[in-house]
Amino acid sequence: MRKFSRWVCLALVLMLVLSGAALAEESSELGVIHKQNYGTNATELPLVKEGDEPVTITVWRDFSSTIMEELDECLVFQEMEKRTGVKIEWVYPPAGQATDNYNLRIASNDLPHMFSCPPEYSGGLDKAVEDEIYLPINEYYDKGLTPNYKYLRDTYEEIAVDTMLDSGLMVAWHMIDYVPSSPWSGLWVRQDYLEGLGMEVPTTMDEVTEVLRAMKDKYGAVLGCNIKDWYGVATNFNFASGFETGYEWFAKDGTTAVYGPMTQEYKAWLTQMNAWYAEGLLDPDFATRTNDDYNAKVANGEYGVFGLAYGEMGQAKVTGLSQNPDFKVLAITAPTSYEGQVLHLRQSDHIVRTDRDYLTTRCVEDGIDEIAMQWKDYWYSQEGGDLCSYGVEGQSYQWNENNELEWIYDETGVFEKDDTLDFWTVYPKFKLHNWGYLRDSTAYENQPEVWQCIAEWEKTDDSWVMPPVAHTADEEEELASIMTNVNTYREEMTLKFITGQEPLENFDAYVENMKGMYVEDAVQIKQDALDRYLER
Amino acid sequence: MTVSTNTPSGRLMDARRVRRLLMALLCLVALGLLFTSYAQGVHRRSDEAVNFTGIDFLLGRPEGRSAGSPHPMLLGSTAALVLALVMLIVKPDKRFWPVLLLLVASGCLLMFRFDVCYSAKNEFSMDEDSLSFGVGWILSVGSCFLAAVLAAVDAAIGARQARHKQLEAIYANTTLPGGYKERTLKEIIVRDFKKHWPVYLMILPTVIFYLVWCYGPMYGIVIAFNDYSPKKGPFGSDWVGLRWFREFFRSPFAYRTIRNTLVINFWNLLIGFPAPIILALMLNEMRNMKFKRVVQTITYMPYFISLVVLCGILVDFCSTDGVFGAIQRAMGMDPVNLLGDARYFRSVYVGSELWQKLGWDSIIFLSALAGIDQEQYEAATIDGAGKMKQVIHVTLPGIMPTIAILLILRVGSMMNVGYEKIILLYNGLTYETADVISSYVYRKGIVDADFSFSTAVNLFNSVINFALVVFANKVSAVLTETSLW
Amino acid sequence: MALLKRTPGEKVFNVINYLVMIVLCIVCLYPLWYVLVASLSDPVQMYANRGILLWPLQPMTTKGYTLVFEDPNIPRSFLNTLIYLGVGTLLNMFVTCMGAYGLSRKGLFWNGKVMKLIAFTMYFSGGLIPFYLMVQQMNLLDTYSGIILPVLVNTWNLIVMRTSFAGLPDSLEESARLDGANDWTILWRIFLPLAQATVAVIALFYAVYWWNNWFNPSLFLQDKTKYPLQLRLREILLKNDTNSMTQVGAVGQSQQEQYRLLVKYCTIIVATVPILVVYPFLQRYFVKGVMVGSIKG
Repeated sequence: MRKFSRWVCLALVLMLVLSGAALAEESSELGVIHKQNYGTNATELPLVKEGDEPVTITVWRDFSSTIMEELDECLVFQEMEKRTGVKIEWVYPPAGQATDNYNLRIASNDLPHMFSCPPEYSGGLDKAVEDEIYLPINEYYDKGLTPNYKYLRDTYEEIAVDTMLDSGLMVAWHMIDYVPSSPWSGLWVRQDYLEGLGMEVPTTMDEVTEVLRAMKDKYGAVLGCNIKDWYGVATNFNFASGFETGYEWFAKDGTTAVYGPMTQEYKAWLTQMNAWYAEGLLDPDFATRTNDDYNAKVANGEYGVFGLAYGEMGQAKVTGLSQNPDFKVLAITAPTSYEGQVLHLRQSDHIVRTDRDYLTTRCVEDGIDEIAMQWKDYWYSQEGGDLCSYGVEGQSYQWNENNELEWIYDETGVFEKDDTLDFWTVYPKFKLHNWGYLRDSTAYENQPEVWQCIAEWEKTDDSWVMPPVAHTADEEEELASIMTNVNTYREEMTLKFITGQEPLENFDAYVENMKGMYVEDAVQIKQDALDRYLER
Repeated sequence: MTVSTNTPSGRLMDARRVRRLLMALLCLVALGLLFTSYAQGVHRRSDEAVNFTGIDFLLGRPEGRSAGSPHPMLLGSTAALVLALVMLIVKPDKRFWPVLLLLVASGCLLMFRFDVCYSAKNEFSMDEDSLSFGVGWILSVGSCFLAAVLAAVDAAIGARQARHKQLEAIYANTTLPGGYKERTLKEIIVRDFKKHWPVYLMILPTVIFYLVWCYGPMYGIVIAFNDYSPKKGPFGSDWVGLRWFREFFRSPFAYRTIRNTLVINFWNLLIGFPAPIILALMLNEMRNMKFKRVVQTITYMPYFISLVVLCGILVDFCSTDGVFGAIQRAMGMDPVNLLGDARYFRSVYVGSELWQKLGWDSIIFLSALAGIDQEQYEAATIDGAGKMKQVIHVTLPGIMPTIAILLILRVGSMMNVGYEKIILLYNGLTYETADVISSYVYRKGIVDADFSFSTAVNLFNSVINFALVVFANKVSAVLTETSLW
Repeated sequence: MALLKRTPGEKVFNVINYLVMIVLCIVCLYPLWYVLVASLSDPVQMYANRGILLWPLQPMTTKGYTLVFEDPNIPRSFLNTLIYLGVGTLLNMFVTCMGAYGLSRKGLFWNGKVMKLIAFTMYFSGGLIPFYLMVQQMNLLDTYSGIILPVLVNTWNLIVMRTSFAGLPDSLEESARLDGANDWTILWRIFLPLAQATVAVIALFYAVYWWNNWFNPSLFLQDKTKYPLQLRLREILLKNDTNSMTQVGAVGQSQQEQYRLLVKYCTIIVATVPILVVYPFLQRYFVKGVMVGSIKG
C-alpha cells in the first residue's frame, strides 16, 4: 500500500511539474515578443541634411480608418520624417475605388512617387517596368544604395529567391516577415458541445463523422462549410488536405504542380462531403450562405464544426456568449483520413508576402530616385522595421526588464478619446500592418485563444502549398483564359457532386471535360513556373 | 432644274438597269476572287511558303487554332455579298439594303485583313513578319467598295426620281404659274435653316453635349481589338485582331451565358414590363387620394434599398430554414433552397426584379396617364362605355406612345443583365441558368484584370442590342406610329 | 364623377384593387422596415440574426447613427449634394427640355439624323478611361463643373420627353404661332405646363440621379471637400468595414467590427430617407391632367 501510494504521489507530482512546465512554456512563448536582430542597420541618417534641398515623396495608399483622417497622424511616419528628413505627401483613392483610381492614374500619367499595395498591374511586373511605370531596384542595389535590403537578401536565401522575378529584375518592395506569419484561418469546433457529449477532439475523418452525428442529435448543430467566398478556401483545405488534395493549385512534394480538382483524391474528398450532406451533417444551404449568414450561424450555435479566420472569431465569440454563456470554441488541426497521416496543406503565407510597395519612374523625373531608394531601404533595416512594426519607443511600446515588448499606447496619451482603446481599433495610429517593410508578424495584441489557435494550426506542415511563382505575360494571359472556364466548371461540379445533384459515378466524365478545357496546358504552365522558381 | 411632266423615258430605265447589272457583276467578281490568293506567308514552324485563298479561309484549311472553322469576317462578307446579289436580282426596287450590305461586306473584308495581320501566328500558323496580302484580296475589297459606291449613287438617283414622281402626282392637278420648283439638296438645307433656325439653336446644346462627351471618347472602342495597357493608351497598345471575340466564343460556356442572358431578359420583359402598367392603371382607378399617395410612395421604396441588402434578405428567405422553406414545410413539401436549384433561379430573379422595380417603373406610366385628356373619358362615358371599355379604348391608346417607346428601349437592352445582382444571388449550383454574359466577364476580370476582354464582349452585346432596337423601332413605327427616330 | 353609380362589377373590382394594393404595400415596405429596424438594433445580437426582423433587437441603440453623423464632413457633403442636385437638375432640365422640344418638331431636315446619332450613343461608348481623359483634357478634374457637365443630358430621359412633346397636338403649336409666339415661348409657356406630369417625372429622375451619384465624383474629385453625400457615406461604410480589401487579414478582432453591420444599415437610411420624404410633394403633378386653353379637334 505504501509503495503504491508513494509511486502515485511521485507520478502526480511529476505530472504537475510537467504540466506546469508545459503551461509555463506555453504562456512564455505565445504572444511574447523579444528583440530581434534579423536585419542590419546600414542607413546613414538623416538622408536629407540641413541645407540640402527638401525632398517630398508622394505616396499613394488606399487608406480609410475610423481613428485618423490622414496618415500624417500616424506616429510611424512622423518619426520617420524626423529621422530621415524626407517629407511624405499622401494621396488616397476614394474608398472602394482603388482599382479604378490606379488604372486612371496610369492611363493619364499622373503617377505618385510610390504606390503602396496597389492592385495588380495587368500584364505583370515585367511589363510594368517595360512600360516605364515601376522603377526597378537593380541599378540602385548594385550601386550600394540599398544596403539593408542587400543584407537581407545575402543572408537569407528564401528572401533572395522570392524578391526577384524570373527575369532577374527586382521591382517590388515586399513585406518581409522575419517571424513567418502564422495561419490566420483554420478549423474550429464547439468545445462546450464536445464536453457536453463527453467526446474527444476529432483527429480523423471518421472521428469527425461521429462528432457531427452526436452534435446533430443533441444540439442540432452541423458542419458549416462556406464555399461561396474566400473563407471557403480555408474550410476546403481543412478537409481536402486530409485527402491530399485541394480546391486550388498546390505543389505535391514541393516539386510537382497539381490542380486539385482534377485528381482522383478530389473524388475521395467529394465522396466524404457528399456522405455528410446526404446524412444531413452538412448545412443543407451551405452553397448559398452569405458571409453574414455564416457568421450568424457560428454565433448562434447552429454550426458545431466550422472554418473561420481568427479575426472573425472575436465578434462571433462576443455574440455567441451573449446568447449562450457556455459558448467555447477550440481550434483544431485538419483531420486526417487515417491514423498517422502527415498533412502538408493549410492556409499559409510565405515570409516574403504579397503586400508590396513600388517606386515609380516619377522619382527619376523629379530627380529624387536615389534618395527615394535609400529612404525605402530604411524600412528594411532592423531599426526601420522596428519602427514600422512596433511604433515609437516610449510612446507606443517599451522593452521591459526581460527584454520583452510591452504595449503602452493606452497610458501615454497617444489618443485623446479613451473609449474603445482596444488594440485592433487603434493600431493604425502607431504601427503599420500590410505595407512593404521588415515586419515582426507577432507584433500584435491578441486574445489568448488566438495564440492557441495559431499554435494549433501551425502543427500542420505547409510544404505542399504552392510557392509564389511568377508567369510571363503570355503565360499569364493563356492561364487566365483557360482558368476562367475551368474554375467555372469546378465550382459548378463541386457543388453538384456534394449535394448529390450529380452522381459521383460521373466524376471521370467530369475530369475528361476539364481536360477538354485545356486544363492540362495550364498544369504545364504552372509546372514550368514552379521549375523556374525552384531553380532561382 | 425643271422636270417635264412626261414619264421617265426608256433611256433612264436603261441607265438604272445598267447600274444594277454593274453592281451584280462586281458582287460576282468579289465572290469569284475568293478563289484567288488572299494571304501569303511562311509557315510558323516549318518555314515553308504557304499561300491561302479566300476559300481556304472560309473552309478553315490553315492550321492553327482556327483550323476547321471559317474566318468569321470572311463569312460575314461572303454572306453580305450573296444577300446583296440576291436582293439586286429579286427585289430591284430596294435601294437602301444593297448599300448597307455592300458596305458591311467591304468592312468585313477590311476587318479580315486587320485580324489576320495580328493573329496569324496562333490562329493560322503563319509567321506574322512574312505575311503579305494577295492581289485577290485587294481586288475583292476594291470591287466591294466600288459596288457600294455605285449602290449609293443609284440610291440617291432613285430617291430623287421617286421624289419627282411624288411631287408630280401632287401637283398634277394644280396650275401653279411656271410649274413648281424642284430643289437641290443644298437649297433644301438652306431653306430649312432659314425657317427653323430658332429650333436648331435650341437643339444645339444637346448636340454639342453628345459630340463632346459621347462621340469624343468613342475611340475607346478600339480597345476591343488590342491588348490594352493603360500606359500605352488605346492606340499605342498591341493590336490583336479578333482575339477576344474568339476567346469568348470558344469558351464552353459562351452559348450558355448568351442563352441565359436572353431568357432572363425575355421573362423580365414578359412579366416586368406589363406589371408597372397594370399597377399604374389600378392606381389610376383609386378614388381615395390619400391611400393612392401612400401606396405610390411605399411601392417604390425597394428601389432605393441597396442591392446588397435586398439580396441578403432574399438569400435568407430562400434557404431551407428561411421563410420560403417554412412555407414549403407548411404545405407539406420537402423544402428546397430556391437559390440552390437551377430550375428556380429565374423565377427568383424575375420575382425579385419585380419586387424591386415595380413601383418605380410605374411612375412614368402614372405621369403618362395624367396626360390623357379628361374630355375623352367624358365622351366615352356619354357613349355608354363601362370601365373596361374605357381602359381599352381611351386609356391604353392614350399612353401607347409611352408604352411603345419604353418597350423599344427595353428591347434594346436584351443583351444586358447587370452582374451585381447575379453575383449576389448565384452559386455553382445555379450556374446553368444564372450565369450570364456579364457575370462570366466579371469572373474573368478577377483572374486577369482585362479591359479589352470586357470591352470586346460589350461591343458584341451592343451590336446585337442596336440591331434589336432598329428592328423594334421599325415594327413600332408600323404598328403605333411612334418611333425613336 | 361621384354622382355616377358603380356597378356591382366595379365594386368587386374596387375591393380586389384595394386588397392587392395592401398586400403589395406590405411586401414593398418590408425591406425598408428591415433596414430601419436593423439600424437601431443591438449590434451584438444583430450579428447572429437571421430571418424576418420586425422589431429592433434589444437593447436598442443609436450608436450607428452617432458614428455616421460624428463624421465632420457630413454637413459639407450634404451641402455639396444639394449644390449638385440643384444646379445639376436645373441645367439638365434646361438642356433636355430644349433638346426634346426641338427634336420633336416635325418637318425638320436634321431631326431624324440627329435622333439616330443620339440613340447610337446609348449602345456604343468608349469606356471609362477615354471618358476620364476627356474630362482631364478639358481641365475639369476636381471641379464642380466636371461632375455636372459630362452628364448634362441623359438619353433615356431625352427620348421620353421628346415622345411626350411629340404627343401634344399640332394644333396647339399652330394656334400659338398664329398668336405670334416664337419657339421659346411655345416651349416654356405652353408645352411645359401641358406636359407637366412628364416634366415632373424627368426632373425626379434627374434629381434621384444626383442624389445617388457617387461614381463619377469618385473618379474625378481629389478634393474631399467637394464630395457628395453618397460618396462620403460610402467612405464611412468602408471605413467601418474591416473586412474590406483595404484591411485584409486578422483585423476583425477590433471592437469596431461589431459596428460594421450597424453602420451599413444606418448609411442606407441616411441616404434614402430624404428622397422618400420629398416624393410625396411631387405627386400633385401626377393628378389627371387638365388641358388649359386647349383646342378641340
